[in-house]
Amino acid sequence: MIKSVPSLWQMSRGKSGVVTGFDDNIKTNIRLRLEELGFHEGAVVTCSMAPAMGAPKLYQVANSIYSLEKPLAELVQIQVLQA
Amino acid sequence: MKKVLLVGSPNSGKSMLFNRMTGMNQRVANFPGITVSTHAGMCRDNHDLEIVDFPGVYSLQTISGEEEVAVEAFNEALKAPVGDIAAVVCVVDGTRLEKGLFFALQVREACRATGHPMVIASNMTDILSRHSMAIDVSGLTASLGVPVVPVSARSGEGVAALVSLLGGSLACPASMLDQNTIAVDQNRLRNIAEDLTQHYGPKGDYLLRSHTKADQFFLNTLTGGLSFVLIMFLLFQSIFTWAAPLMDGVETLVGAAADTVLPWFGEGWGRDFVADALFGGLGSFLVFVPQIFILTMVVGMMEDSGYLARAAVICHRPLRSFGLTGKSFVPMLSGVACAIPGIYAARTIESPRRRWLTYLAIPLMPCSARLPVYGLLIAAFIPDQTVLGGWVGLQGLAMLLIYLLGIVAGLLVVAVVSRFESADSDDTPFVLEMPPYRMPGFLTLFRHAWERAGDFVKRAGPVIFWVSLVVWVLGYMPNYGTNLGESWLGAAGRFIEPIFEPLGLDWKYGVAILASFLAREVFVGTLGTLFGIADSEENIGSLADQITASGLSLASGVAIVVFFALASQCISTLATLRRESRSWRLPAQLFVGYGIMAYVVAFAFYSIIAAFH
Repeated sequence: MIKSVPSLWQMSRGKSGVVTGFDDNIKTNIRLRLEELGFHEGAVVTCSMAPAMGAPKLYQVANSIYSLEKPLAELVQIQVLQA
Repeated sequence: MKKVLLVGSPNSGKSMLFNRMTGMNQRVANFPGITVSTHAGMCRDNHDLEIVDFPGVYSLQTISGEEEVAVEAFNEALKAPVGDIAAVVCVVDGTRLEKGLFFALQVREACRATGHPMVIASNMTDILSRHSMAIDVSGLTASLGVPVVPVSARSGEGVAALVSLLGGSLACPASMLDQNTIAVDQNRLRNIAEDLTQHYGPKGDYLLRSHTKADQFFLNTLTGGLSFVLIMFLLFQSIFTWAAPLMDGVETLVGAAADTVLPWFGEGWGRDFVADALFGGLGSFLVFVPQIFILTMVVGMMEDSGYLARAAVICHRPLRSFGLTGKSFVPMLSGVACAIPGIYAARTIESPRRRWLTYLAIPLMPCSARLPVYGLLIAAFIPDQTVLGGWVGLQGLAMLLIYLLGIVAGLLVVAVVSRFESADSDDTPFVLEMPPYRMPGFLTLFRHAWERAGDFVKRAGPVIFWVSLVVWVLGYMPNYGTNLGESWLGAAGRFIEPIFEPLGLDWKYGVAILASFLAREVFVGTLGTLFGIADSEENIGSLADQITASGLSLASGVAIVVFFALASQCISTLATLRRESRSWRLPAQLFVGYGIMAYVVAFAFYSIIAAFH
């Protein structure tokens, strides 16, 4: 079962999701970089750590872990995969 | 001589492989973006090959000016006639094959277009082997049409095979992957990289699971915060506690050398020069070199273990409130060892505005050149005692407080400036790859710390020698050292004394502070020479003892520390800032602005302490 949420930032720790697209306001170079890192449409992303107090969250994608801050993670649209 | 171009993604281990192949010792760290400029060196096992190490980039399509410079340099190198380049070696991290292959496929197309051979070095095989994982090298080689060599830059495994391959005849990649090349179809390359990784890459995510467990501790709100504070505390305690025996050793050696050498000279100016200028000036400075060695070792351990990237994540939120980014943490921490690598490390900050703000903070970080000054004054004023059951040394605690002063000042300056400087709408957001945790390579760290300490001595030594010589001549003449106060230096010192008098400092400290504008550490050597001349008849005890005996007050000692913490006296740092900012404006502003701030704040500290002490 798939439940829709607006952005990567809202995915809680331990959850996985599929990247469905990007916010319309994202700049081309930022989108390119995210895609190069593995955050492309169809990629499965897991939130591996969500530190408190608004610190950047850690996301696992394609056997790598990246830390993304809130303004950036909010630009990546996903669908959460329910276990 | 043929060239071998080393390229790869950040933190793929390129520079470690470069060091392994050339025998050189370029800076390596377990953190993305450490290599910020191109380095070249002759291959140790094949003198017909020159290895060129390019800064790591995620893609040949760049998003920042610094990446553009690196990619342009690579593209320029590829314009060499066919046959001049033995091969382009694309280093990929075998534990994260997909990301590496995505970049390798771009490089492959670039090589195919220019007719140069290519080899893929699949690094980190030692880590894969440890977890019973492997890459299907023959399958990957056949699919890519490019030789794939498994290597471990850390252990050296496979490097000989790589060099042997590079010494032979290699062919340019065939056009089997040609699908209108990279510029038009990044998605296709990504799909190919995914497919290749699924077919030939290591199976399982054991590595990531173990990293996540460690991250749950180091990034947890409670345990992460506590461990961060503890690690920083240990860093500063180590500067004193671990360095103390080494410092005693150096002091003993300098003393023994003086006892051996001085009897060779008869009474007179020659003996006075060797005793006061050489052993007094240079010798006083050398005693503090072990602290620089220990500091570099400990910072290196943090880098190499993978902890530094986690610290950047922890610091991002608080640094953001000052206008900086988590990526500013690494340049600022590098600045604790030396401002110059810190300024270079700021190149990894994609946002020009936050990079510029980081430049403002770095000169205020308590660099190792300040360490001898702090160490001297702490030794003079803070007793060598421990508290809390012997766990906390008072001198280490004082050092921590002094370091915090510089760090807090840097953050406050940046916070104030960022309020007045409008934010750039093109600010690049924070994204940082988390490197794997690993045991630090102690031998590499030792070599780096040894070289860093050696460079420090080589850079500062000649300056201190010449300043000591000039100071000694001026202080010795015209009365041959019989009365320092009536010497040429005494006259000059009294001329500038009104500047430093408000801080409770006499002319000798004024001369030492002025000399330190050449290099901060000159302060110690100059004082050593001055006290040597003044007490030539009874030149006993360490410089710290002589300072205490000279009657310098605690308030004045603190004023000196505050002045050194805030003033931007280092010529090398200012020159590096000019190069990075492509203008003299920023270094000139920092020199004047931080100089005035240092004097005013030092005066405030002096006045407050003098009123209550």
